[in-house]
Amino acid sequence: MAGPAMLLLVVLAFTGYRMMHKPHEPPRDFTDLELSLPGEDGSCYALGTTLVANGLFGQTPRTWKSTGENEWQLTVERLIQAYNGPAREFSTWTFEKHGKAVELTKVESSEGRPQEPRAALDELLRAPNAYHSTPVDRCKDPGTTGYHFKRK
Amino acid sequence: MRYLLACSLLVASAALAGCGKLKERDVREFIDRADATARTLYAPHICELRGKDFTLHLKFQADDTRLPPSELDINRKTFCMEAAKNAWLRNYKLERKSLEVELAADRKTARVTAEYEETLPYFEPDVRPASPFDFRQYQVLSSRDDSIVGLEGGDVVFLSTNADVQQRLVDKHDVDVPVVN
Repeated sequence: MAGPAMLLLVVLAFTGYRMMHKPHEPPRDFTDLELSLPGEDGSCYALGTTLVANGLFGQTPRTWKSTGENEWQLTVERLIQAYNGPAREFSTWTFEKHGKAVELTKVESSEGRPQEPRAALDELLRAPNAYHSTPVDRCKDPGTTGYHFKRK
Repeated sequence: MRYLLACSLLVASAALAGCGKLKERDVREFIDRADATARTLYAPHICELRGKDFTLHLKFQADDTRLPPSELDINRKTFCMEAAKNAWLRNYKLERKSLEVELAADRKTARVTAEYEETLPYFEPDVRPASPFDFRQYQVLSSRDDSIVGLEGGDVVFLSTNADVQQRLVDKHDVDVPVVN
């Protein structure tokens, strides 16, 4: 009798732990969605692909925060040296899932960085376009187009 | 027998409760170790001494006092990244000028106030140095650090630091700074 009770306790404790600890990063099915702007064509690049092309992976300092059921915020920051001392440069992008796309809906950033979603997305898309990163399936067909998308 | 067992449990509980409390000697030893680690410029070890939610508030007054001070808050990740950048340096000196430790009433944390003088090469912001020795001036940083230290996973760590830094630039031939690494 003690054995099954202990097993049940372990299972309940594990389930409770999983429920109480939210993931620190969005799931793969979120980052695999095509990145876009509200009211625009998709960019042809998945959010994850775009972040990797911009070097935002591995040990790069970045913080993900879940801000809603289908909404994640990503903050990247670094220190830059100015003549009056170190200064914090940061960008916080809010991504929302809408259908088969993930939209960049809000941007907060330090002075000198893009302050609007359109300007921020334009900057984010430079790297995947320059490297000709792998597009999402929708854009593999030669006839399809995407926001700022440059086919190889 | 039962009485002995109960006594043993009581003693063990008291010892365990004591384990979660700081002593001034532990904090002073921790600060000595943190300073020695800082002198190695080895980022992983410097980083290990910061708690998982560590924050640094920095107020920095440049040598040119006509410039306004820069003020910023950074988290542990950015702090560690900056520590890694300093691994490139070859000349570095850190001297502690004073240290005060004040334990919290519950002895779970302590407030540490320390004054330092840190000397390291000064690279102008818009100049890309060719080597770690490609500099003309040292920056002498006089700082007053106000830190909270506490226990995390059984180890003493910095939970937060509030640093007020004053920069002074001096010719590289006017000071003697040891070569590290």
